[in-house]
Amino acid sequence: MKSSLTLNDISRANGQLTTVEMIELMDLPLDVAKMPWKPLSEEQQNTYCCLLDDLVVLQIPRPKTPVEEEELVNKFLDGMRKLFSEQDNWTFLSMLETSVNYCAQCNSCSEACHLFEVTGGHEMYRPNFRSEIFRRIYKQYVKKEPFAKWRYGDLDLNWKTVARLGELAFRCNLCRRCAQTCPIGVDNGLIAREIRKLFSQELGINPPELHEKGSMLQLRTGSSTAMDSMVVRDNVEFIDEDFADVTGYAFKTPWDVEGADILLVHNAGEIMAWPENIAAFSIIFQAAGLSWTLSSALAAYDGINYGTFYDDVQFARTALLHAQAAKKLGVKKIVLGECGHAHKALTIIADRVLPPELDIPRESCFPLLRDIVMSGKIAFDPSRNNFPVTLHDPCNAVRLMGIVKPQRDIMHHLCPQFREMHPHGVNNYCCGGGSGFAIMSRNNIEIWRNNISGRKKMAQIADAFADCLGPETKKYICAPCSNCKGQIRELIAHNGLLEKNSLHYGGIVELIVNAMVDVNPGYIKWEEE
Amino acid sequence: MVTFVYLVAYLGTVACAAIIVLNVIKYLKKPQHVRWELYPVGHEQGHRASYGGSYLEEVDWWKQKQTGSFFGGLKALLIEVLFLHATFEHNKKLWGRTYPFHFGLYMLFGGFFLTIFAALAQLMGVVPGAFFTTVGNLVQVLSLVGFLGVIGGTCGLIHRRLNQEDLRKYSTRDHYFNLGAFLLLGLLGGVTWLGSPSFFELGRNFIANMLSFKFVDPGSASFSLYLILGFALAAYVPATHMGHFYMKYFMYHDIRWGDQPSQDSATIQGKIGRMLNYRVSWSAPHIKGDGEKTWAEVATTNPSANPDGKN
Ligand code: SF4
Ligand code: SF4
Repeated sequence: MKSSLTLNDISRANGQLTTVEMIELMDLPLDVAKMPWKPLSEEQQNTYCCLLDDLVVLQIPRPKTPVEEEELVNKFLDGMRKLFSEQDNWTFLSMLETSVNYCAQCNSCSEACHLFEVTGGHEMYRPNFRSEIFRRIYKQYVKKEPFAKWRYGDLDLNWKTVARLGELAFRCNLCRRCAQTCPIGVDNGLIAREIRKLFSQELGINPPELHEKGSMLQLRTGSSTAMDSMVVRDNVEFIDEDFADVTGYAFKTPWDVEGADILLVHNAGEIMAWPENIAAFSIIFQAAGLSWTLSSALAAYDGINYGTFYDDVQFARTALLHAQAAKKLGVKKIVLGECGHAHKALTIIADRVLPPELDIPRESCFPLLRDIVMSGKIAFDPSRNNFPVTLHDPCNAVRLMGIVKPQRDIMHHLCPQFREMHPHGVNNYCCGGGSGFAIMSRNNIEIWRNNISGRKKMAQIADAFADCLGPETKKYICAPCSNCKGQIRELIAHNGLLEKNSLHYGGIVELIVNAMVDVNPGYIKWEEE
Repeated sequence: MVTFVYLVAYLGTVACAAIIVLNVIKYLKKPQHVRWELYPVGHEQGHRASYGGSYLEEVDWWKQKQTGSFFGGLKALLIEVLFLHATFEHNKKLWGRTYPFHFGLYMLFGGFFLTIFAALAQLMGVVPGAFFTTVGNLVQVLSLVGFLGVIGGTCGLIHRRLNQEDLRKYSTRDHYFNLGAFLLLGLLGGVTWLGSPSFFELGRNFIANMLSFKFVDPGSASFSLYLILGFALAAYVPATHMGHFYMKYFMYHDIRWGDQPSQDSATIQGKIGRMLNYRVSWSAPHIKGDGEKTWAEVATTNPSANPDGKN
């Protein structure tokens, strides 16, 4: 089915449309398992539209009657009309229309996609596959272009088409590497996001990790980790005490300091999963003598904004809360911690969403960290980082923001055995957890992240460490983004790559503190992966 | 037949200009979209341009107005347009076919504009001499190269679309119709070029007659058909996906390279203010847009806030 799959199969086929065979998956120099898909349960199949492949990300309720089937199609069409309406989609209309109208169907973008590549060119993963289905539906059923059927082919729009297209929008990491290669400027990643939006904003169908347990939970409690402001302050206080002991460096994380220069916004997942990252920021900022604070206001202690991946309204609500917290404290600027999508959400996308009175300056932590490291204010001993280090470029901060060099300046300054992945910088590959997948583990999604979406990144990592892949050399993958770390953690753990290859991962601030002379040696804990 | 050729020429010219202008106006009147840039950004300055960096690599980037380099952007776009650089980089086999086609069209356009120039000179009474000979020779060469490029390129593209499985699936009647029309144009032009002493003279006389509203026989049947098809395509192409030849400017400058921070633009700020008052009709439960509520209202509503307002 891999290569015989055609656009019209989306509406014609019965049952599961396709699968990715293990044999088709790219082989790696690392022992990353090819895990067979687990069969979806009968209950899942009866409850949800399990019609695309072996995964169910979106969980579209399966229509039970012809009336419900028709309703699904009609709602989808309503949503599509709204995507092309100025009032409802002013945010992305220009990009969507041009991406729909001007694609030349040249498929020059296919090879750029890591999903397409690692599946041996599976048609479902061709960036243009989903986009072209979307375009044909639009031209035939919404725009009703003259002779559309004759010109582009007759694509039947039924409930299976809708269900499969919705699910297809989640066979993409929204890394936009394909868009970078398009000669015309068409953006297939954007089309995937617009389909996700249609389902969320019109049909109210979205992955629970992004919506109920994501943006809605953040709007309710302040964080998708469910930590409220009291819990988060307690936890950070505990981190301060714990790491002050370990490092021999007394520090305290400031909270709600009015008039501070900087409001630092972390991804709150770090507090739970990687406290060493939180502590490292506090140590560096204190050692550099910065005037800074965290905020305990609603959502302001968690920089995540999952709306970035699926919903403009949820995006705007969260961005507003972040900006309002900064405004209330009267800080001079917001600095985003190591979270790629939080970077892009608040610095770039929110730039044309926030009203001028809330347009508090916002910047990435990387340039600031670079300036601190280079300033000479802190004494470093790079020999403490004398192990092989490679750098992963989070798509959101690098390809989509152009923040490339500051991280590298730090690496070159503090890591004697730094080596690049290839390609890197703005041409990087996604870690495989992009666009929300890093926080999803159900219905074969964790297998998909291992088998498919994370495969190319693991190939790059293996290549970067080709001269020292064995377990005798400890190696550090610097992934300065919470989601990327989550994805890489999973692949390392799942495949035992700590034991087999001594692969470790972490952020960039950990490397900085690890090299600080005023801190006890051994900040990076190699054992505790 | 003669009048018909002129009629198609006038209509084609007017329709071409009108469709391009209308589409550009339509694009410019679209609401202010959010930023969605993709690096490398063509107008980025200095060293940063070499690796795709941005002004966001600087601490306190907002303290400087971000201007970008006009020539950097122009250079990047020209490299793309003149050499189809992205296709070359990412799809060499296709480039080998599409580049001759595009190059052929560029040559024909070059020849066309030189012919208009010569026709205007003719109407202004410039007597035939060295000037016309030089321009004429140039147009002859450009036209021949153009026809060969278009014929070779379209044949190559049709062949590839028919025989390359990944392309065949995505190739529609529309593609074959368009490529077929260009192939026919190239053939008609080529036959005319071969069958007449000077293609340039035919063209110059036709344009001079067109400009002075004298409906004189264009000179040969193949040339008449060439003109009819050429002007019909002029009206048709800008309205189709091939309109990327002018919309690409906006897709690159406004979207892909659209990195202007709103703080540097009162116009953008004003537009955002208006957009926030647009009405929302998305009907998912967490939005409940009724077509009355504005974006500002929806964005400041917290659908999952605790009833007591505490967090
Ligand atoms: S998105 Fe661009 S590269 Fe991909 S098929 Fe369309 S025109 Fe070609
Ligand atoms: S955005 Fe990334 S994952 Fe999605 S189709 Fe494009 S290259 Fe593939």
